[in-house]
Amino acid sequence: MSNRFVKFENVGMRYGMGAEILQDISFVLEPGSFHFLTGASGAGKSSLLKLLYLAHRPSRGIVSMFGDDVTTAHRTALPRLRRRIGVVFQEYRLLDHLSAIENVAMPLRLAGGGDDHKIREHVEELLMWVGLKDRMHAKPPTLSGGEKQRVAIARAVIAKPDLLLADEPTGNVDPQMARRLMHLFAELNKLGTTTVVATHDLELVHEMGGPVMHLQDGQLSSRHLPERARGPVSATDPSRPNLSANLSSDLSS
Amino acid sequence: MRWHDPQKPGGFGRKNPPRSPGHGLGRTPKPFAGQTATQSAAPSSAARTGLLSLKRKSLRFLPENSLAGGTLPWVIGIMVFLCTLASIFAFALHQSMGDWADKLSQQISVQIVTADGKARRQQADAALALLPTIPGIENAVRLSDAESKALLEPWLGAGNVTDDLPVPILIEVTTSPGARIDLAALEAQVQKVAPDANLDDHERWLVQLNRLSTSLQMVALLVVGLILSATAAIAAFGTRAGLSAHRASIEIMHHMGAEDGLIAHEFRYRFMLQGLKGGLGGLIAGLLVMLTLGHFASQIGSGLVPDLSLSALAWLLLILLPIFAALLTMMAAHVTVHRELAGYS
Repeated sequence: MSNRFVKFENVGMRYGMGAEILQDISFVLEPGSFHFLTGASGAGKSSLLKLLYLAHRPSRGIVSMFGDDVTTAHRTALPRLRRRIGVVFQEYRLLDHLSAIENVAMPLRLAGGGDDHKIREHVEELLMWVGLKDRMHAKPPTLSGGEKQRVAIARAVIAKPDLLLADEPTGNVDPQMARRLMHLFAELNKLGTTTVVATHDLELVHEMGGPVMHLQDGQLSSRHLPERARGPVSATDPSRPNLSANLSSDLSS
Repeated sequence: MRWHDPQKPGGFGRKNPPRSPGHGLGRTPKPFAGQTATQSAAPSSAARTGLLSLKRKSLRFLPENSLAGGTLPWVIGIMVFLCTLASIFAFALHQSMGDWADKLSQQISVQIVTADGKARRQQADAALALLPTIPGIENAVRLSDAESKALLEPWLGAGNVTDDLPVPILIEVTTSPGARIDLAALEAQVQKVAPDANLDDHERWLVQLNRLSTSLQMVALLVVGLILSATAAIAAFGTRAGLSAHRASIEIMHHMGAEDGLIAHEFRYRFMLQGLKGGLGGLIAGLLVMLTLGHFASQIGSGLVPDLSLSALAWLLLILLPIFAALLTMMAAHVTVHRELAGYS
């Protein structure tokens, strides 16, 4: 099994000749860890995510993804790594001419895996699971914001990525939905997917707990929220529905 | 809200693992089951490229008819139409010039040029008697006086060629196909019996004819070449337009780990279809024009207009034209996609 670490060493990033948006960013994402990425608008959250989903290269420092140094890697080496990363974009970025089911199936098709029937079955199952049973054949323009959000999330997780990145995944949904989506991420995390959720919903962060990467003026500070223990987000709070118990038992069965 | 209520059995309530079949999902949700295959990682890059060029199905990540629809097949159609006409012109020219040259190269003219009418006739008779006995010569025919006069009339005016005008006697000699005749030796031989005989094998004329024919064909070929380059340039232009129109979708695909080859595959495939569509239309239009022209030409009568009939090879090349246009369009798309995408992050 290849290395599943994500490592940033003294990374700086700028757009073109502009000022550095990110400075001296160093961190390691341990396999299976769960992180929040917080910071005010303009602090560089989106830029950091861009580095993480390999849409941009650092202007200095070293970014290594799953053991590969991507700072200087040829662009033909990137698709293989990108297929191990699921991204939930803030603006969803769905293919408007394809139905929900086809959108979600795309990463599996790209991976070149399995016959069409199996892929479909699998995608249908996940869409049912995120509550889009009746909207599977709808195209994104006819979906509500929350529905698109869930399609985007389903697409990001369908191929069970090693790294899941979500940019403000709860920005456009009501608080109740936001909580449910967060629990979905927690469940994926339980299955071994390293997860980074960028958000400015601090209330949500407090509620979920876990390590927080906080960006301020392009620099990173790590901290843990006082009310929670270290480590991946805990789902043992009896006051909250637990997604993981069932899911894990399903997987082991 | 369609999200399953986590507190209900069958949802994700933690204390209710058994599910009633009638409720909610109706069965155990296993969103990540069967994922080990895809997760265990991406297939090797070599396998992917192989798939891509041979049996990879289109992933339809671009809307149907959104690429190069509309104008591109028309432009390619026009290009192939022009190509068809230029090719037909070149082929027909080649054919008729060839026929003509073949005929001429089998002809030798013997001219008996002397002012003495009696000697002229005697020498002509002697030459006519000798020529058919020489190996390689099929026959020798003397042009009648009337025919000789008819040849002069355009220059001297009708009625001005009087009987006492010493018109040279012409003997048309036809050689056997493939026979090699040494003109100088033949001339010497003929001059023994007809001292005033001149021989002409039209060599000079043939050389000039050949030069003209070759130049015309080169021009036609150049025209075809230019048209094809323009076609490739238009396809490249269309590809660039398509790439920028669909940049967002292509970026989505890139983020999901699509390789440039996959994007190129989609463009290649669609541009090939458009090229084929336009090419077929252009070919059909070109052939229709050719048939119409051929019909008019045949009404004028043979001889004046070169025959528009084409050889089997010419037909084959014409039919290959749309296929060639399609391949050219496809290649232009392929190269352009790779070149443009290399500039993406």
